[in-house]
Amino acid sequence: MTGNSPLTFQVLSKCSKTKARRGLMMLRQTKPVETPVFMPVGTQGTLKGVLVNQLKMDNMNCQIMLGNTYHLGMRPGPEILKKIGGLHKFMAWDRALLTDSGGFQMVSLLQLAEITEQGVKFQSPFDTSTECMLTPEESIKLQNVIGADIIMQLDDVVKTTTTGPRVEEAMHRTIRWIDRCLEANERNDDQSIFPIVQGGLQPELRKQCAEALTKRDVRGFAVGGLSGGESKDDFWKIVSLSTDLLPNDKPRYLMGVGFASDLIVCVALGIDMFDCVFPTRTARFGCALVRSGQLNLRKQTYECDLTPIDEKCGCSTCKTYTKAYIHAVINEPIMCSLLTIHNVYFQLQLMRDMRDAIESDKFPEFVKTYMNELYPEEKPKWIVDALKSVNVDL
Amino acid sequence: MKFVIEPAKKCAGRLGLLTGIDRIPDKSYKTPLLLFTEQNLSREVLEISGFQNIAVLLSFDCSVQMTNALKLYKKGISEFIGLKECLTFVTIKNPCYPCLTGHHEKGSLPVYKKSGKINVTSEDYMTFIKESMPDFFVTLADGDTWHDCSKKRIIKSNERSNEMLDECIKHQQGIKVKWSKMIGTVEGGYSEHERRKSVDHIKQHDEKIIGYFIDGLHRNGHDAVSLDSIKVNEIVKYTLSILPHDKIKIMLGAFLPNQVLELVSIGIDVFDSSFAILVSKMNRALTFNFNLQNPALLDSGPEIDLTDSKYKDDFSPFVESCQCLTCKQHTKAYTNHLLNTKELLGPMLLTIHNLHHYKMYFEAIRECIKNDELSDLKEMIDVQYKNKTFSYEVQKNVAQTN
Ligand SMILES: [Zn+2]
Ligand SMILES: [Zn+2]
Repeated sequence: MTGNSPLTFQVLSKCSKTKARRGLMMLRQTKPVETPVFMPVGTQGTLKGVLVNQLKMDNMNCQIMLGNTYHLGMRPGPEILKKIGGLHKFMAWDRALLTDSGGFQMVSLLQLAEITEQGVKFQSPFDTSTECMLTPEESIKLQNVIGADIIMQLDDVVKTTTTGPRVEEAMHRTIRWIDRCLEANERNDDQSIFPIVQGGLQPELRKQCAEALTKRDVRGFAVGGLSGGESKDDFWKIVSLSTDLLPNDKPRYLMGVGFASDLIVCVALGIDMFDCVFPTRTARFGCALVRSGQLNLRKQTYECDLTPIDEKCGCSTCKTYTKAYIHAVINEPIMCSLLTIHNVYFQLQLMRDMRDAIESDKFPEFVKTYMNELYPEEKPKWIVDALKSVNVDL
Repeated sequence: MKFVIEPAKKCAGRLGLLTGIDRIPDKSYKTPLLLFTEQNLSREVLEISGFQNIAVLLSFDCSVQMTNALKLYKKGISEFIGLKECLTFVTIKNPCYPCLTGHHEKGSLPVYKKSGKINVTSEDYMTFIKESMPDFFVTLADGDTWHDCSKKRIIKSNERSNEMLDECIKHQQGIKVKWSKMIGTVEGGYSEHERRKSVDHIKQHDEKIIGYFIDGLHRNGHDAVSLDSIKVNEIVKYTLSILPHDKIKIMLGAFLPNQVLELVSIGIDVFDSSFAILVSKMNRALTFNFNLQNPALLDSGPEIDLTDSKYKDDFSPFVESCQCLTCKQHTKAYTNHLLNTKELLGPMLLTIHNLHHYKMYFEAIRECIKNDELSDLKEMIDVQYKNKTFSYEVQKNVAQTN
């Protein structure tokens, strides 16, 4: 990698047993992102009820955030983003950003989206008589305006549980589209496109896809099409296969995964980057993440609970407030702010703990302790199997 | 508690210093003082935004659900809400929201809390005070009077309030209220005769009362914005003339900035920030100028509506010279986007600016009293709010989107 590359990735330490690795990704030479990393989702240019200053506080130290191209393309729209010079400036966030291609959001949010060789065809959500088309070129053009440090190729999205020739078609189309995306990228010197490994739950297709994508000149890879209702057994096997197929010297991003146990297993399987709306969404409903699962603070039992969400948590919410207070302000905007802070901190701290464990080569011990706490009784079979595949016996 | 008024000058308004508060003896607060009303900002956000050493106004109706927890907590509501070093002042109803009409049961006050209406007795109220241990609290009173309400209602309100005051005092003696100091609630609507009766009654307990809350002039929410200034000034002036000069005087509600100046010059010492909160809830930013050194006025007026599409690509701060976190860091365009997309951060950024703006306004007011420039300031604010018709109609419990 040359010194001027907008994305450099260095593996700093590797777990001696599992495929876990600790790394440092440097974006535009100035924005360090320590991996494995969890990226909170700030869909429309903000995390719900949280100041960017809070994300940059020493204890929180969020280094990268995700924005959604589909939403940002609608509002504020490319003209405004172009005028101010991109999302970083628009939301006053000088750290790293990643945007998705917009394709997945379209297919999942718009009922009438249809995928053709040209791109994703959809009805305008504001004017149903207008037909729009998101081509790979359009997606990149939009992401070039938004200006995130890492941008995603437009991929052909099929439901994870789809079987038959459609899966294969989508895989091949995804490969054809990466070339169109790379070709269309006008800011290759400061925005890095990640291709997306597709192929459903079929190892053979995943293999073909990964082989083709690794031939392209790219700086990192994503694993897509998972976390969509497939069995956990299928899930971990595809993840593990994908990390085996992808080069060691580039970051690997598993899209849409964010439950604590999934994060731990997938780090063990060699994933470096994650994103998920769950921690921020569940905060809005009054739920706090804890090592044993989650607490619903709406419940009457918390009315007089004078302890913080987690005694050991270092977030500003736990340092100041009790569960009883949060219960008393349930549904008020401040509840969402306090729980978002805690939940994002929870995710980032879990990643920090994993990085530390990898660095001191104690990752397998960390995994065992965590899983014992999370599942004091019987452990889910898929977790046992997945960890066994990387030499950790629970 | 000690309240010292600076030696009276010829000019209008009075400067004072509130010190010796039992719970936070090292703190002092300058009057005219601004209390921060329900702002929905966490401690961390307040800290980052530079709001240190604030005084907060809490209301019984918005906090009563905390009573059981506070009882076990034993450290008081200041610490419970994460602001233990801040002065806390408890009132009955949050002045941001219009009072809902309710039938007045004998011996109790109808109060609307989150989960619905409750009839509050003096005992209920004092139990809350005992458990929350604020630095100051107003005595329970029926302030349900307004500018054209019937004589009968005023008389009734006064009778009921007198009873409630006696009860509050009785309960205070029965319980060990650690450091909470009592503020007497003065009622009597717009009738001098009834104001006199109310004051006479409170004066019987004067050794237990450290200040006065002039209530019963509006029904909270936008009602306080549209007060008849002349009528209010007259009755407040009269009321203050029959109250001990050296004790602290409080008025709560979303008064227009120029009305605040009227009340300051009459001699009111403490106000709250509900006006800034209402403006935030209406998606507007305060932009009125109170800088006598640089009196140029903006064409955009005293408040700007950030949902206006003309701001969608305006990358300037709300107020160029403003030093608040929002203005130093964010643009009108970003706030416009956040409001359009119903993002929680939108109201937060507005609240941070508006509270900062209003806090600086109070600093300017104190400066003007010192320099005998209150009338110049009044003139400047009058011009800006003249012929302006903004809506401030915010309803309680508006469901939060998203
Ligand atoms: Zn926490
Ligand atoms: Zn400002």
